[in-house]
Amino acid sequence: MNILEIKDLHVSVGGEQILKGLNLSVEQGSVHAIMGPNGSGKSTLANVLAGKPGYVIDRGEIHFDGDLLNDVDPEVRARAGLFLAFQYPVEIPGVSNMEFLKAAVDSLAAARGGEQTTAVEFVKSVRKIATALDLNPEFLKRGVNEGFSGGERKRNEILQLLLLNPRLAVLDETDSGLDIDAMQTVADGINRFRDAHNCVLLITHYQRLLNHVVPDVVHVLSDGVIVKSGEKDLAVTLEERGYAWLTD
Amino acid sequence: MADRLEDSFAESLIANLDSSSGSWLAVEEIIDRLKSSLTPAATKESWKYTPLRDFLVGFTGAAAVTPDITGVNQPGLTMSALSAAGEYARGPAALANTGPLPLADAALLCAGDAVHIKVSGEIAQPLEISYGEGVQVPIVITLEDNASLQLIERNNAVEFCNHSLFVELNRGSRLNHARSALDSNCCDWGLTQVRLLETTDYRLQQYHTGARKRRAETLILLDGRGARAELTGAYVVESNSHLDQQFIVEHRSPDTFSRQTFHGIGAGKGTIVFNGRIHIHPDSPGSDASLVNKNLALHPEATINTKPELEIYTDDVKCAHGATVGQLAEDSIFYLRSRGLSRDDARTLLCRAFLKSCIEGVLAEEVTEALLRNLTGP
Amino acid sequence: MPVEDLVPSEYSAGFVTDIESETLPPGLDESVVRFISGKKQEPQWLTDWRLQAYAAWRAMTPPTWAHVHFKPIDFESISYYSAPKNFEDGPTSLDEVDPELLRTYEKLGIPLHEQETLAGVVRQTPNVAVDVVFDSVSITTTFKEKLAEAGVIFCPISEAVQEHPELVQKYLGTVVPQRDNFYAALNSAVFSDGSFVYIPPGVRCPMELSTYFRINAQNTGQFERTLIIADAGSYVSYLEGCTAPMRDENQLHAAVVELVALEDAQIKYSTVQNWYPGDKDGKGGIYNFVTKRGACRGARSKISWTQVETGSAITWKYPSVILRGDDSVGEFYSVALTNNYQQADTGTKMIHLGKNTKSTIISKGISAGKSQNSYRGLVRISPTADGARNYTQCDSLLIGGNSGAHTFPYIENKNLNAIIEHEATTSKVSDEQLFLCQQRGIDAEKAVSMIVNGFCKDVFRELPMEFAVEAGKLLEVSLEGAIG
Repeated sequence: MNILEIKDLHVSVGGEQILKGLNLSVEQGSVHAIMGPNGSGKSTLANVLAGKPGYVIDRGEIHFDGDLLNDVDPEVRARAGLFLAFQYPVEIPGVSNMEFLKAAVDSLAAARGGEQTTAVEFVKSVRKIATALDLNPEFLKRGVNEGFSGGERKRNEILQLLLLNPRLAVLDETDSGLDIDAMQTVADGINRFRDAHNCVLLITHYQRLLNHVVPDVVHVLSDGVIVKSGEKDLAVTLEERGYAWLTD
Repeated sequence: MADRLEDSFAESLIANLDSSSGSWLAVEEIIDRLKSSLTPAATKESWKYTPLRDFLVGFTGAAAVTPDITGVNQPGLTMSALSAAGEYARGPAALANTGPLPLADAALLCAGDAVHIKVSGEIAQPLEISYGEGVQVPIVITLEDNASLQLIERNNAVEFCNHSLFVELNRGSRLNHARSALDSNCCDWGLTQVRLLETTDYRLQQYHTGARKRRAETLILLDGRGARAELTGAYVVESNSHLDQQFIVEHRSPDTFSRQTFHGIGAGKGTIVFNGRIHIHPDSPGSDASLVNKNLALHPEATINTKPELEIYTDDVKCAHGATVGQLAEDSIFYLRSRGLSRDDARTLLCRAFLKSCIEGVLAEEVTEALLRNLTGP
Repeated sequence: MPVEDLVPSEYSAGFVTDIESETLPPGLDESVVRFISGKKQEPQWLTDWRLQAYAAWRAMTPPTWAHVHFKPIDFESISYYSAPKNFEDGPTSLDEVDPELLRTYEKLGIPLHEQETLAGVVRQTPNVAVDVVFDSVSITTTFKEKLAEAGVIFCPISEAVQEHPELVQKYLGTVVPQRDNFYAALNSAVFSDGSFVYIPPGVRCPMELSTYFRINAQNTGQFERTLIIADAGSYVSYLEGCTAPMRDENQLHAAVVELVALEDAQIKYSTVQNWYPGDKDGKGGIYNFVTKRGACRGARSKISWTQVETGSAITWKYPSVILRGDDSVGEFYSVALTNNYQQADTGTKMIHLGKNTKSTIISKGISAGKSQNSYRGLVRISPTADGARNYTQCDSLLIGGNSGAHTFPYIENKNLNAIIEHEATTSKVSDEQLFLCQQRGIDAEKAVSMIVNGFCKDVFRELPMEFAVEAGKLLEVSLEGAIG
């Protein structure tokens, strides 16, 4: 069963067409990697999946668990189980991580008809994940991403991934700006998340994260379309030969 | 038209005066200054965005009303009628050019019509003042050397209110001052003058909403070496309301320190006026002053007028100000929505955060919800 | 040595030129207005326009809101017209120009001969056409033919009234109306000369245009009027310089500059203002009460003001931009240096009317001696200006403890989508900084000059190359000769 189904997707940003007929299916229980050179449309794909304002779908369809996603509000997508780990998570001074995470967990619980967690349970579960991700639990009192280093921000994204436990995780360049240790921590988090009931779309420029999170399928995105798909070895080939040979 | 109004304002003051008790500033002089300070040219600048006449109609000549004061029965506090206003002469005289209201208060003070509260030692419980309808009797608070006090001021009037507060902090004393004006219908005009002597510490937290017309003037006189004033506040102006806040900080002694941080939201078809002036006098080297005023425009017909001013007459200073007008960051809203929060919830959360960074102290809890009550705009 | 001793003002342009002038006796009434108009053989509509302005002025009072103090001006003691006598019939070529006058401009470093331009001070960029205004009349305009080839009109405004009346009539007073303010009304009544520029559609003006203003005669006011029109898609860079002799009495300079930028047009207007500032005790000097305003009428048009103000006893000017066209841009870059008893109240107004209009304000005030230096600005965003943006940075540098640095920014927003940012800082040149420099072998004068130049570099960057050099030198001159 496919969780994500993209058909002939054309997307433009600021009047410029970026995605030019992209097709992609991601089945339950799988990890797909999207690789590609700068400017190929990788981040556009991530943002349009999450419903970022300003990303216009000119043509094509995005289906999520069978439902058409094209005109759905970002929060409704989130509640349905679509999660985007941002490439550049924004700083929101004044809104504490605690306040923010609780609001997110509560809104998802409400949408799923589940019970709200109590503050105590909530703090307990967050602290547990934070410790596993090497984040000082004191961060809960600070503003969202406020004064966080690049690595801390990425780990905070993974923390949210584990806390919100979505159906589909779209990870946009989550490996960029991480040192080896942080990369390992983030990869452990992603591996901890993946199971037979969800799926992952890993967007990355480099192959190195794929050594830690092994994908089932690797796609190469170039100039707005997927030009090649293959197994894990494709990533290694790309690392060795670059992208040029695919488009020449 | 304006002339007649201003004349009747002056007359109502004269009616309130008992010239026999005027000791330090001749009544005639007050009236002269009052009239000259009400000339169109002089009031044009200070009243550029708020029509003075809207307030003047409230001065009917009726006798001033004593505000409701609680917490005064504590050791260290004494309250009396102020007859010998002479010792405060320096204060009101310094105010002569800041507009007509100080002179009105000077007139009332001169007539002996004021409440005087003396503070000595550390006062355990807060002193609370609540203003009601009409022109209020001025309050003079004197903190003696090393005294400390928590003062809470609330404006409970719903029609018209004019109130004034004169505070003097003597050496080493501390005043924490929290105030709110949250009624949205009132027409009120308040003046506060705080004079700080050596090594004193004054903190103000001011939480105001807009009202039919609301003007709050605060004058801080840093008159002793090492005096410190920290002013902070948050405000929300909704539809059909007007809020004009004026802050003047006068650095008149060496090594004085001031901070002003105010965040406000234009949430409806209303007007925000913010004027923050830092004035460093020639004989006050080592002054350190800053002002930050940030505004969010959340309604298409919100008007926001802000004017941070610097007037500096010596080079040995640290001085900066900043003012912004903007909107909530779309990136932040999207981030919150991508985690499942609705657009409205995301906006409310961000507005709350914006205001909360300027909300602290004893009134924090009671004002936060009041300020945010109608904040889910378009 | 205390810092304040480092900024004397050695005014090098303060000499008087001894030439015969025809000067009206002091005083102003309708007959003076008619005389000026008649002298210039103006058409009836312009005479009427002046008289209208005069009537308006009579009913107005001088503005009092600026942070400057001076004795009221006696407008009856000023002469409203003065012209070198030799030009009664107008010079037809440079050979007819009074040699005394040519020497004046040589002293000032302003080349009047076209060949001198190539060899002279502005050697690096020979493409500068110069219009020179001496007291009330325009003396000469260089490179006229070359400009005409490109279709550019660059001439004295009195000539434009004769040669291009339709353009003058269409635009004169449309940016700064006659009754805009007291001094603009006065100027509208008695303006003598000034420059007129018209750049036709699509033309990039082939050289920098420049006007040099000089007040020479005693008891004379100077009231020049400049009108620049950049038609659709055109570009022009215009430079303005000014000097005056050292005289003990104050002289009034009340100019009006109007700029009009149509669709996609760009105007860059730069000023190096070095009017006589008065002596060390505050005696004499020019009252520089000037109204400068540009209108971005067309979409995507741009007007940029850059000013370096070192002169005048009192400066009262706010070069402004009305951003009417969608996506239009207004810029204001300013350095104002005051010393001794100089007073400056200067800044800008950015009036945002069109959508996505942008404005940038960078103001650097330097106060030395007993001077007062104020920035006064207005940023107004109207309800129609969706997406408008403003960024303002106002910095003050204090040299010595007896001067004043003030900032009065007005921000008025009536739009939901506007973003406005204003920042101001204050710093000083301290004795400690100077001592450190001296200890490292840099003399104090050089150190102050370095600090001041560094402080101003954001603005100097905006000046055309040859002016940037002049501006830098000007500041240095003000800081020179301090030691000894």
